[in-house]
This record gives sequence, structure tokens and C-alpha cells, in this order.
Amino acid sequence: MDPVLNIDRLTLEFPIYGGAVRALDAVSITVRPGEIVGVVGESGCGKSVTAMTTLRLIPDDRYRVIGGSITLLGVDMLSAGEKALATIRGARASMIFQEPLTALNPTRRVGDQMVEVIRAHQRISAAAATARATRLLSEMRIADAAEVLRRYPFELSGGMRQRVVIALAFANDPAIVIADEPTTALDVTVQRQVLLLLRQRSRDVGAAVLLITHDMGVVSEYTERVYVMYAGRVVESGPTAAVLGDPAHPYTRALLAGLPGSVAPKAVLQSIPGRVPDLRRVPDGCAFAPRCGQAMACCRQAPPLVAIPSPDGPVPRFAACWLPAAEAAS
Amino acid sequence: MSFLTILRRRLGFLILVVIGVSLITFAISHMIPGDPARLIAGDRASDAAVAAIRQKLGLDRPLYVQYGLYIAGFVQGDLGTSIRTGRPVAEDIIAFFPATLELVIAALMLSVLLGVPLGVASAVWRDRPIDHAVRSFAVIGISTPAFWLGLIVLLLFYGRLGWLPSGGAIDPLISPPAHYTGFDLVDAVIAGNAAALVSVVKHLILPAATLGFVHVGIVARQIRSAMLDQLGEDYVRTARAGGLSRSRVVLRHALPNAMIPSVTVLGLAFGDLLYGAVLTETVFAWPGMGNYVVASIQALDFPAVMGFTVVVSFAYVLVNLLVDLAYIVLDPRIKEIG
Repeated sequence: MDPVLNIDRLTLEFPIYGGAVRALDAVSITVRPGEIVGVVGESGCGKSVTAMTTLRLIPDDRYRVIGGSITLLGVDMLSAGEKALATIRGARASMIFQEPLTALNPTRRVGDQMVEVIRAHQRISAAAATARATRLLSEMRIADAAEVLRRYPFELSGGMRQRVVIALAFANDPAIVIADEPTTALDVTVQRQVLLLLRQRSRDVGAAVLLITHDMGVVSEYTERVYVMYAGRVVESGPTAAVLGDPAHPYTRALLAGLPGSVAPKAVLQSIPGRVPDLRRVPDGCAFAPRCGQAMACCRQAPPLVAIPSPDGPVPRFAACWLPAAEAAS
Repeated sequence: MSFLTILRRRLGFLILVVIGVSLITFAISHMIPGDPARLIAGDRASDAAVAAIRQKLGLDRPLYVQYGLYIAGFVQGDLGTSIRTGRPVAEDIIAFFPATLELVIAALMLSVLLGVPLGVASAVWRDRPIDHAVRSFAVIGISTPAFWLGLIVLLLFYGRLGWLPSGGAIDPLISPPAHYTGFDLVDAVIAGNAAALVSVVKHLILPAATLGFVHVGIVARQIRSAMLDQLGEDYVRTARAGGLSRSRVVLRHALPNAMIPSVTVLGLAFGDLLYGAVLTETVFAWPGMGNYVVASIQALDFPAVMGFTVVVSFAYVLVNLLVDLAYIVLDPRIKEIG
């Protein structure tokens, strides 16, 4: 089956005064129909930029594409015009944002905002669109859906608002939903409800989900495959269970070592020494080398993309690292 | 906070403002040098004649008594008698104020109808040629003196091109519409008098454009900055991610929210326009308060000047009350915050 989303070696820069920030460096991400795929990494690793560019939501004059392509549902997104973009956005491909508090227009009723997006893509009456909005909210386990439609966003709790935002993302039966840190702003208990609902809804309608998060726990619980990003590059990818169970890249290992569940009670949580590199001056070779405990001389050259043998079978696994390459050679 | 609470609170405030303004104008008008009785009597009148006039006008009594009498009359709708015209000030204001208000409202509508689209275009195409053009236009508008602009447009549209009349509110050869509201434009429409309507509109164009010119730029700048704020908001991104067209995102989502901070500027503009009208009216011989007030000031006609000031202040506070009420309509969050 053709992938719903194929990001192929995308390299992208943000021009800044006196230079450029290389936000994405040859990033390749593939999402197949119905799959839940995670993208994980620290702040500034490029995961949100990836999400935003996929729907071309960053203003065109703010960034520069150096190379690569984005194919979303067969459409070449980097060359698509405003009309083609409007047809695909919110319909076959939709997005969920990080901040439910600000993601909705504060001065328009929830119902108006939902009906508007529904009618932007379906030729149906306002009454039919309202009925659909009510159903969408009910499917998000909102009991008094009709009442919520009449409310303004500020009258709803954060968790409720995020459910509205997710309902909005499913308004026109999407083939893929891009969720950019959908629960970061929510309480832990609400976070779980919202993620379960997101997974449930995507399975119901057969939509793929690209789940952007910084939370390894979320990745392990909800995704089938994962891409680990560091400094604008994908450093490791593969089936979630395999990658988290036996990480091949030292960065993935370091991220996992920082999880509370991985250490004994009262032991000190590990943190990764050093800092995320300045994206204006990413070191030559492996970007993680300066912080890596296992760095070698060869890490000053660009690491190869090594296929990692996976016991799970056919789903490919890769790491951009000299270590597995060295192991394979010896 | 409910509509009524705001209304009640603001009406109380309104009374305080009017009292304050009357006190200040009263003090100022009696402190400036000059003797209205001498002006009325003329240079060659005897001192006795001047004293008689002074006594007749009550100007010989202590200031606090004069003020007390003024306020007592004021609450009964009596703004005193004009020293210059000899008629009740209230009557003069009723005769002249509608024309001024008509001019101010026309100028305000012009600045909104031009300023809002210009500001929106400027924000949407930020740093493009249209943005630079609008911003330059705003600076020119703000730094152009209205009386000078008035003379220039008169030279051009009346003197050179002959397209528009030079002054007045209606062609003297056309019978004016019957008096319903005092607003010529409205009266002409009510009376169904097409000839009068055309004439009134033609007479209104130059003074309204001259008066409104400054505010087109002010409104455009305000809308531009409010729009830029709104276009950077998350909900705009959500709307775009929902596949709404660019025009819909701009006009239905960002613009209404950008109007919320901008109505304040419109309220302030109204006050500016009322005072600006005084100069504009003298240039265009507009039969409003402007000419009346200028003449009254020159004649040291205290009751007339005070009446004008109080009425203008009253209108200004009233408009700002409307601005506050507009917030409630525009922003559903206000009711909650109180």
C-alpha cells in the first residue's frame, strides 16, 4: 500500500540575521495507512517543524527548502498551491495542536467553528453540519455535546477543549491526523484519556496518526513505529517495541535512561550531559557526538544509516550511528 | 458584568464628567482677560453703560453665585443666553450641532470604510509594497494640517476642476428638505428629495474627506497592528489547518478579534473629530458649531463657549460609553471577567 505520508530527505532552513538555522537535515519519515507513528526528541529537535511543514502551515517567506520532498496523500506538498492546500487541510489530512487553550478562536462558539470546517469540505446544510458536529463530540465522549457546541472555548476546561480540537481534526474523515504534542499542556490524568480517545477514533475511521511528542512513555504506549530526532536529524527509527527495548543509537539510550521507570526508587534520574547543539553551527559528523559517552574519532564524519536486524521481522529498523556500523564490521 | 451594570456605572461617570467639565470651562472662561460687557457696549460707550450691561448679564455678581445659577439653569436645559446672539445657547446648539455631528459621523465612517481595509491589506501583505504604501500614507495623513488640506482640496476640486461646491451644506438655489432630524442628509432621504440629497452629498464630500483624512491613517495603523497580533495567534493556524480559505481566516476569524482593541481608537477618534470639525467648518463655511464657536470665542461669549464645551464633552463621554458596550457585543469573554 502507498504510504499516506512520505517525507523524503527533507532539508529545511530558517533564514536569520547573518545566517541560517538548519531546522531539518535530510529527514525521512513514512506513515502508512492506519499506522500510529511517533516522532520523539527534545525541544528544538525539529519535530514540530516537521509537523507544521507537512501541512505547509509555516508562512512561506519564513523558511527555505534546501532539498527533499513531502508527499501527502499523493500530493507534492512543497509545490502545492493555496487552493490545493485548502482542499487537503482539515479534510484528508488534519492537525491537532499543542495548546488547547489558544487553538480555538476565543470569540466564536465551538459549534460555529466546527460547522465551518465541516462545510469547508462537504456540501451539506448548516443543520446537517451541526448534527455531524454533535456526533463528532459525542464520539469524543462528550456527554452534553449539543450544549458544548453553544459554548465559547473559554467556558470549557483544557481537557474538554482538546477533545473539541481532536473532534475537529476528525471532522472530515481524515486519512492522517498529525498530532503535535497533543497532551503536553494537559494534566497527566486528562492526558491519558485524551490519548486513548485519539487512538480509539483513529482506529474507528482507519486514520493514520503522526504523533509528535517529547515523552518516551507516550511513544511506548501508543505508537507502533517511532522516529527519534536529534538536532534536526532522524537518528533512529523502527518498530517502537524494538527501538525502545534495544536502542541502537546512544541518544535513544540516553533518552530512555532519563525515564523515571527505568531506575530504582530513590536513585538519581539520569540526564544527558551537555546541551542540544546550536542549530546555526551543528558540528560536522554526528550531531550527538559531543554529548555521547561512546564517541569515537570517526564520529566527526557523517554517520552511515545502518540497517539494524530486527527480530520482529519485516519492519525495517535504522540508526544513523558509527557504533552499530563498527559492530557489524567486526 | 452585565450590560445593565456597565450602563449604570457609566451613566454615573457621565454626570461626574459633565460637572467637572462645566467647572473647568467656567473657571477658564472667567479667568481669561477681557470684558464681554465692554465688547457688547463698544469702544466709545460710557462706563455707566458698560456697568449697566454687566449688571444685566449678571457679570457683576460673585463667581460662585454665577456658577450656581449656571448649574441651576443647566439641569433645566437652560444653558444661559448667548451674549453675542442674544438667543438661548441651548437653541443655538440645537440649530448648529446636528450639522457638525453629520460632518463628524461622515468623517468617521470614511475613516473606518477606508482605514479598516487598508489596515487589513497592510497586515496581510506585511512588508510588501501595499504595506509600505499604507504606512507612508498614514504618516502623511497624521502630519497634514486639516486647514491646509482643506484649502488644497478646495483649490483642486472647486477652483481647478469645478467638480464640487466650495462651501455650505446645500446649494442655496435648492429648497432644503423639510426639518425632521436636523441632519440634512437624513432629512433629504426622509423627504424623498433627490435633488436636495445629491446637493447635500456633494457639499459633504470635501469637508468630510478633509476632516477624516487624518483618521484614515490612524485607523489603518491601529487595524494593521491589531491584525498582525491576531494573525500570529494559534487559532488562526487551527483555522488554516482546517482548510479554511485565506480570505475567510482573515475576514471571519482575525478581523473581528482585531476590531475589539480598535473600537477604543474609534471612540477617541470621535472626540478628535468633534474638535477638528471647528477648523474644518471655518474653511468650508459649514453651518455647524465650528463657525458659531469661533465667533463666540472672539466675542468672549462665555455662555456659548461653555455650552459648546459641555455638549461636546457629553457627546464624547456618551460615545465612549457606546464603545464599552460594543466590547460586550464583540467579546463574549467580557461578561465573565467583569
